Amino acid sequence: MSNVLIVARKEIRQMIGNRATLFTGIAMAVFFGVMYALRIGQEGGLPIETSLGSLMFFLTTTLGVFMGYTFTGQVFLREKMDGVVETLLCSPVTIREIWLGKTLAVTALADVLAVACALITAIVAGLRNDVVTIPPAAIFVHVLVVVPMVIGCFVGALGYAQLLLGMRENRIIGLVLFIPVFAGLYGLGYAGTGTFDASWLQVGIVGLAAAVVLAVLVNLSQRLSKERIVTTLPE
Amino acid sequence: MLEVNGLTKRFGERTALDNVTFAVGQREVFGYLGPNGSGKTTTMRLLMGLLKPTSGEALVFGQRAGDNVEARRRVGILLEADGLYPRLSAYDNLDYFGRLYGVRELDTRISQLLNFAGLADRKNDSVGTFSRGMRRKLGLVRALLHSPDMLLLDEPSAGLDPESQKMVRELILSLSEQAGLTVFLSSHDLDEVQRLCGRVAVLQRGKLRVCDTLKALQSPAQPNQVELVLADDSKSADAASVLQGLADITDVSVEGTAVRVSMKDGKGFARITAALEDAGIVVEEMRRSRRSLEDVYLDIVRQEASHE
Repeated sequence: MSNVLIVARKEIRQMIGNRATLFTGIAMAVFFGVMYALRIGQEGGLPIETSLGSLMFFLTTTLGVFMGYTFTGQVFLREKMDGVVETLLCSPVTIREIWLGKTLAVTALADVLAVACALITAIVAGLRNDVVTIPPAAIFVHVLVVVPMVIGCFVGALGYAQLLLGMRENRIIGLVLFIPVFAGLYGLGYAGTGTFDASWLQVGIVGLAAAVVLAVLVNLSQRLSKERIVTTLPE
Repeated sequence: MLEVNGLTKRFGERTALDNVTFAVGQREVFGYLGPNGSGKTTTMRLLMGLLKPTSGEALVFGQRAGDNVEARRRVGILLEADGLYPRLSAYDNLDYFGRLYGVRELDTRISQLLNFAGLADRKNDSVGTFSRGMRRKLGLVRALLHSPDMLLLDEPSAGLDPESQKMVRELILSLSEQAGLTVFLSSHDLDEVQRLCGRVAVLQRGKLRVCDTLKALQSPAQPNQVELVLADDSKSADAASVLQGLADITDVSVEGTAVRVSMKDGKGFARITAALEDAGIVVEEMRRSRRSLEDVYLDIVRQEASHE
């Protein structure tokens, strides 16, 4: 098993082991999935499939990013607070492998919750409207391919910052980010329902942008400095 | 095995380490002493490549450990923080590091070491529930998991009970003598260093004040000085007054239950026991006065402090 996968495996086990956070994540996926699904079919205009697709486009992205935000602190920052990162950096693993493994783990778990939310939305919307609602193909691609990339971008960038910055700066960033991320989760779900016909073009643009950001981040991860991490550890 | 040449590290205006040079050979147990903030942790971080030197170099197995994964693979490290995940079990912690180090037959190795450390019955408990001493022991087990060629230890016995301290000391000695392991021991525990280390370096304010064998450092300041242990401790003062009356005795002092006697030359020690026996005082032991490591350490630290 490669070092990246060893790191990712451990992080996933650790996140799943934290029942409070996992329960919160599942509860949010169910809550938002059901809440927004109940609105589908209430508005006139777009067909149910389009409304569902529109909702899934926004909801899975914002919920995934929100979950990523929640888990990133546990995975990147906690290791600095516990001082374990110093020992880890002395092991035969590169700083890039550590960053990649952690980003992969958080992205995977956040994405599972986002996909679960999408499924709940589709099931509830179908039951409520007495139809089997299948969203457009572009939405499937968005949920299964683009959303993990977007989550990966967010988690990668935030994790990068958490590794490099001191505890005080990280607390400020955490607070500053919470509001737009949560507002996005709440607001975009409403804004998106039934008003946005997600097409291949939009999915493609988001996917391409995410791919570019990811490539930049992976490249930047080579420049992560051990000295910077060690000198920003709490006393 | 380990070489430090003209190593200097500055953080802005502050010099944490100033032109430090020493080397540690194979099988050696090397003590690294110094007050808080003297640069011990900085040295260890530089050795493992966690910091980049301002000038000079720190080599582990002839390589800069920061750039060389294979050099890092050969080193076991226990820093001030135990390097353990509090939310994972003891087993999962060891499993994680074992996989990163590519340990073969990992399960067996973990069981062996946990049994040895007396932690086998707690292997599935989360490390967050462990006492400080248990975490320290588990940290040491983690450092030994991949059978390293060198151990870098920062206060390995801190927080351990006397029995566990003894276990750690015996383990370090046996690893050095039987497995040929090199041990770099940074510690405040002078007794531990005295028992384990062949050579010692003392660091103060980032500068290496002394680096020598323990034997050389502890050699008596005055070669014509002996220490007497009396059969009856309560007669120390009487013994001192008897000895002060003898010719060629330059100084007599009582330190606790021991009587320290200095002579003009080293030839008349037989007269001391004779004079005391005549006075009805039985000498149980007479030995050349050697300085303890604590005396040596405090002398160096105080001397430097008075210069500054």
